[in-house]
Amino acid sequence: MNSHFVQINAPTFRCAPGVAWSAESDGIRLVAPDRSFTVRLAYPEAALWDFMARGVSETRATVMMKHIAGFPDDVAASRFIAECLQGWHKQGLITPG
Amino acid sequence: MKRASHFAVPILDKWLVHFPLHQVTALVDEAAMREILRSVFLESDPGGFLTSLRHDIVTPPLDYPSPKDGPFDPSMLAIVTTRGCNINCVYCDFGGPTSKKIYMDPAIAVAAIDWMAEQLVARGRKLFFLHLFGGEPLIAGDLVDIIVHRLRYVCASKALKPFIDVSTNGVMSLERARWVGEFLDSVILSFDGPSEFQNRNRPGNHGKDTFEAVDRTARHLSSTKIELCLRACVTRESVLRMPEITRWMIESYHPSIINFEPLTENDLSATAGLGAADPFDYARMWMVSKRIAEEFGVRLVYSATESDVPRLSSCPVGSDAVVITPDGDLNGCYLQPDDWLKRGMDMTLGRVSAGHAIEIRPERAHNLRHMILDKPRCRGCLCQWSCAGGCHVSNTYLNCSENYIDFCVQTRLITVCLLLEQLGESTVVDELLLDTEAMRRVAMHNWDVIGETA
Repeated sequence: MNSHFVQINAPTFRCAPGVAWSAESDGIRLVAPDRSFTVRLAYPEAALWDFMARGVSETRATVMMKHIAGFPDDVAASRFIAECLQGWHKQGLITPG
Repeated sequence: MKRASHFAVPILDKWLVHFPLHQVTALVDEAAMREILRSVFLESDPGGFLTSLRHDIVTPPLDYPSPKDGPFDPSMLAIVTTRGCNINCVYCDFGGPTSKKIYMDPAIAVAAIDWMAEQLVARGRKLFFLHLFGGEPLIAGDLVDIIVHRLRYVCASKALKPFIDVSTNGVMSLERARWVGEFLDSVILSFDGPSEFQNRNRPGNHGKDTFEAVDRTARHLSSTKIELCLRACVTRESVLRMPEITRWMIESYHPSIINFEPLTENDLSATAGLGAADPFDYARMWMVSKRIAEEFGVRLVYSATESDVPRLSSCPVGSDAVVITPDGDLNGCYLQPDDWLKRGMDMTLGRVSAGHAIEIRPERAHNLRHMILDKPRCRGCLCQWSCAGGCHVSNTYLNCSENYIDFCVQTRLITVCLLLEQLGESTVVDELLLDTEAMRRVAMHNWDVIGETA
């Protein structure tokens, strides 16, 4: 399981302390620090999680997500990224930093 | 024309009889061999266990390997992300040291993945096999990220199982190695052994050593869930140390597979003063290494003998595999066009159009399926259903000589030894490998076919 420091976007985010994750063939599985819950991220969210976990810049992540998810333009990709990050933040999976 | 399917090779004072299409192998003495030959030519029943051997000789095999037929039926997708490389191997056959670092347009890669997935679904297949190749494929960082995640996304949405492997030189950051271990399924890591071989054969830019970086990558990957294959190029200098290298690789990196391939000499390797291993030494050392690997539960492979079932090609050529190059050409072979063109061969399949449509030319696919069939050098050789001539471009190209080359010598010797071991005749293998004259008789026996003359 991985637990990397990350930096993305403005604001940048990283995995919440103790959240661990691992790739599965069809997505990514996150495990809470106390193992009280797991969250499964399907695609294309799983790709974004990988980018966030590696600290990929928003610009690069936008271009890559456009290709991966087939978004028509950068705006759509950017919106998708923002929505995902907001949702993960609310769930306590990531923290600004 | 049907190819031969019944073979016999002299092994010391016996004969190894091998019917690959019937899955029959036997070690018989001279008298039994005479009976077999007589029964074939005179059509008489020799009696005893020779009756069943004769039956196999005169009965056509149920499954005669033949080229694919019908519409193009892609078996695997290989993406050459770039021909460029971050190191300068002194024997590189793929233009790595001289090719520019030009990367494939991600839109081409995405189009190829989507097309392949549709083809697989339409045929009811369950597995999407992707091979990343170069140059050094992983230097195209963002492109590789896009390819891997797009593939996984498409597979998840179409109920396909992704299987992604990469051929890499291992010179990458630890962060990249972690990513590979997490998201890929299999890694073929080119690693020529201890530092004296790795640094000489596979130097970095400006002659920098690469051992430390590759060692770090291998150590990390060995701690992950992926299948790790260490692939070493064996030279005249390293051949006698193969057993030692085998043990060292296993103890250091715990690979699933070790793949030793002999150096193919070219202008680059000649300039660097590297020579090919003696094929007899190679065969001997390969067999010793195989036994060491087996003790540890590691599989030692050599591509020319790597087949449990009869085959027409030891590489993807002819199997409707699609190799997509950085500029969007669709080929049936990993090599560069100059390599085939100088042999008068054409390995192209089609092209990705400007609108990113995949255009396979059916006549090209047909030609590739049949190009691999006529191998004059192989007509009398018992390895023709396993080695299948090796590389169609470098070894058994159009109008190549019909004489065995060093590649044939080591392949014949290893094939024979593997067959003997399958029969439980390890002591015969030992005796053979100690007797250079007997090895030479096996290696240079130029017509193995029973029942036909050259």
